[in-house]
Amino acid sequence: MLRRLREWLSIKSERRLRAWLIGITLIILVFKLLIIPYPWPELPPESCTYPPIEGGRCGFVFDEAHYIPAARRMLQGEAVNNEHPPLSKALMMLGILIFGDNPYGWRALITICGAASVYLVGLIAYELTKSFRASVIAAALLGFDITSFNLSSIAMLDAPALAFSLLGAYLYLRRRPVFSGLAFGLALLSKLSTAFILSAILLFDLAKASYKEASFRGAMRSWIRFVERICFTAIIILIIGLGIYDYSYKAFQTPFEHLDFMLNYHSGLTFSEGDVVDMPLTWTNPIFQFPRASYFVVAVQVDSLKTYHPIAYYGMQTPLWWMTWIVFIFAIYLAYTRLRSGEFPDLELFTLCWLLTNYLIYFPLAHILHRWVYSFYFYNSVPVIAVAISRMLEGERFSELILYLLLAGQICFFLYFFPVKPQWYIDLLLWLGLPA
Amino acid sequence: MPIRREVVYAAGIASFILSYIIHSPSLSKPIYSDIVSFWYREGWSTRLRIPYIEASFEYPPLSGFLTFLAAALGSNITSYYSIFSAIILVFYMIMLEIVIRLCEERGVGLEHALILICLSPSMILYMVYNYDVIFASLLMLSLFLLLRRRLTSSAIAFSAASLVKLINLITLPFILMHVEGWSDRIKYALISLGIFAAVNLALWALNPDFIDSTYLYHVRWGLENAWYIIFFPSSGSWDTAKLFGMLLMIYGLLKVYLHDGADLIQRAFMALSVFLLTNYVFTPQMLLWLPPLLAVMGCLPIPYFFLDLANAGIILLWFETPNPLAPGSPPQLLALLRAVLLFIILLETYFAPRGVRVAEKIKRVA
Repeated sequence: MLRRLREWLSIKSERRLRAWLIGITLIILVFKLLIIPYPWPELPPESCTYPPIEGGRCGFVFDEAHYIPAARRMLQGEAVNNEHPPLSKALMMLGILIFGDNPYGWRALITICGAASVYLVGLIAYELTKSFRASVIAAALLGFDITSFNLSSIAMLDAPALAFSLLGAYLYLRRRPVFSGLAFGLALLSKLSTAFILSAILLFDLAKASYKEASFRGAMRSWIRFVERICFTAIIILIIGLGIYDYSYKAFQTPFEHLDFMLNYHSGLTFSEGDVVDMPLTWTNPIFQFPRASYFVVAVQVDSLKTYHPIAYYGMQTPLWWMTWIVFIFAIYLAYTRLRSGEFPDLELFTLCWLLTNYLIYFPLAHILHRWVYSFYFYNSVPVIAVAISRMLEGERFSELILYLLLAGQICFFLYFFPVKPQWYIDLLLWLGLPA
Repeated sequence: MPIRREVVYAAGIASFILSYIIHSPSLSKPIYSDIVSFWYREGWSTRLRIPYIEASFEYPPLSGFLTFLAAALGSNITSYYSIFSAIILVFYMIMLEIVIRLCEERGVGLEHALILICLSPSMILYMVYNYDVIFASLLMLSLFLLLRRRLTSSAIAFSAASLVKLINLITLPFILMHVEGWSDRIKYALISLGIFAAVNLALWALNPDFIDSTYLYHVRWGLENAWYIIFFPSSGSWDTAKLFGMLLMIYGLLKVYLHDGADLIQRAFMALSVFLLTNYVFTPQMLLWLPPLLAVMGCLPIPYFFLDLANAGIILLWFETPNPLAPGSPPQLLALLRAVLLFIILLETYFAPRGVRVAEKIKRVA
């Protein structure tokens, strides 16, 4: 019986791997779908479209207060929130048209994108590691990352942007550069900061071409061909998308002027002395963490002693986030040793390039240029840490034990900080003497 | 019937005289020329000031020196203009001689030189106009000397060309690729960049504002005759437009540097064309950099005739248009047409070696 179960659970083919990944994705999707209606708005849409907006009574979690009113106004033909590209908001609009102007409409399609990221991370992990187990663990690590889960369950721009970027990265690894460019174009149309992910891919390909080609000229030539296929396709998609929006909404004369507006807007978001900013090191340093960000918290006081939170969306560090610097240092070391043994370190360089352009880039941006940075920007770095740590800790008994402990830690965090808790679960937590 | 070099010279001198006359300040309504405007702008009629040291000047040092020389030797606008024109004539003759020699060496008919360098409307309109003929002449000289393997002389001519127009520096990578052996490459780079740097550093030491008023001045300039003004119609977005142009330029130059089948002259042509097509300023006189290279390549593309006419039309319509920099204005429409035609010629040149290879294959199969 046990043997049969083990046989059934083992992954011995790509088909089996896909089934596992779909399974994990569906579990995450179910969790996401279950919490969609929480919080439900108290006020009608008309009272939550134009400022002043009471985010709590409107049922908005975190930056939904920007994007849902924007989607509503866009449905009325108004050009708003032009500092961000329109695709994620268009998905919210589509959701509203299908499911109505309620949390299902706002969040359904974004949630699907968030769940799709879990599946895609598994596929990317397999392309980089060729390990079935590491791929499944990577998907699970991302799926049960509570902050990523929260961010990709609410109507924000980040989930579609990351999902399209991961699709682009996967297609790149499958050597489909034009389709990869297409996906990256959609990612850029969802959120402009995915340009950082695209630049990671460009950097990685440059490193790969330099390793493979005998001469620098040869490497550059092959890299330029790649840039033409991926970047040009992505840029064309971005321009076409912006063009359609600008033409329909009469927002800007040309999509290039729209791009100029976005670039100027974002480069102008700087902080001054005295502003409280969660600097990038606090996103990953477990000792000096950024304070837990309450995206949406409902507190219920039973008596003067007992308080619990049936709804609590937090942005915070998770055990996976603590692994960042370990992954970084190990990636450098392993890349070096693999290069010395005449092997190209695919996974390690991919990880380093990704972290460099999606996490480390925020150090100079914040410390030198004083650009506002937020801890949720780390959402784009989480997938690559999940992939890298799964492979790096695989193979030895002790390291695998750490890997499973890490996964267990992720799941515990996930369950404990799950944003919407049913009453029986709250009671259980309180009975165990834990804060709920 | 093959064309003799005397005919080319005669036509060249005739073009020069015509150019001299149409811009002459002695005329009641001359066609605008930068050279003439310098005299009035700098106030040299009242007091001669040394450029870069006593007054700012937005062109590199050799340009300023030649202008100052003409102003110092000429006591009034007419004599200043004549001396400046004579300096241009000297460089023009040098350019003609180099082009003729290179054409003869490569078996290219002199009709190319005759049409492109002597009889083209742009050459007549923009010869006595700015420093572009001087730059083109020095660039051709450096390439000519390089082909003759006279590296030191070529490097000196190269730095002189860079001291007339900074943009010459974009040709350095493939010039260095053309030089055989690392020691010669380093030597070439040291001489060419060394002279250029020494002159600039000396002026910087004399006037700390020199870099800002001479080079950074251009960074603050807006879009002028750049085709992508159609994408960035409002001037508020021009910083992004410049970034857009710069990215395209990097891409285009990389493609040229990595091109395998092109010779030195073709690469110089392609690199300068890429610059002209992607830079945010493409004044019509800049087009004069290309005809000597096209002539030596033995290339007389049909689109070039229309390109040259459109380029000539820019200055003729410039002062007749209320806002010549506005997108959709006649000069900008001509600039757009010019860009399309230059892009076609650039593509033809870029893919020519591939075309030859395909033709050879077909021949072999046949």
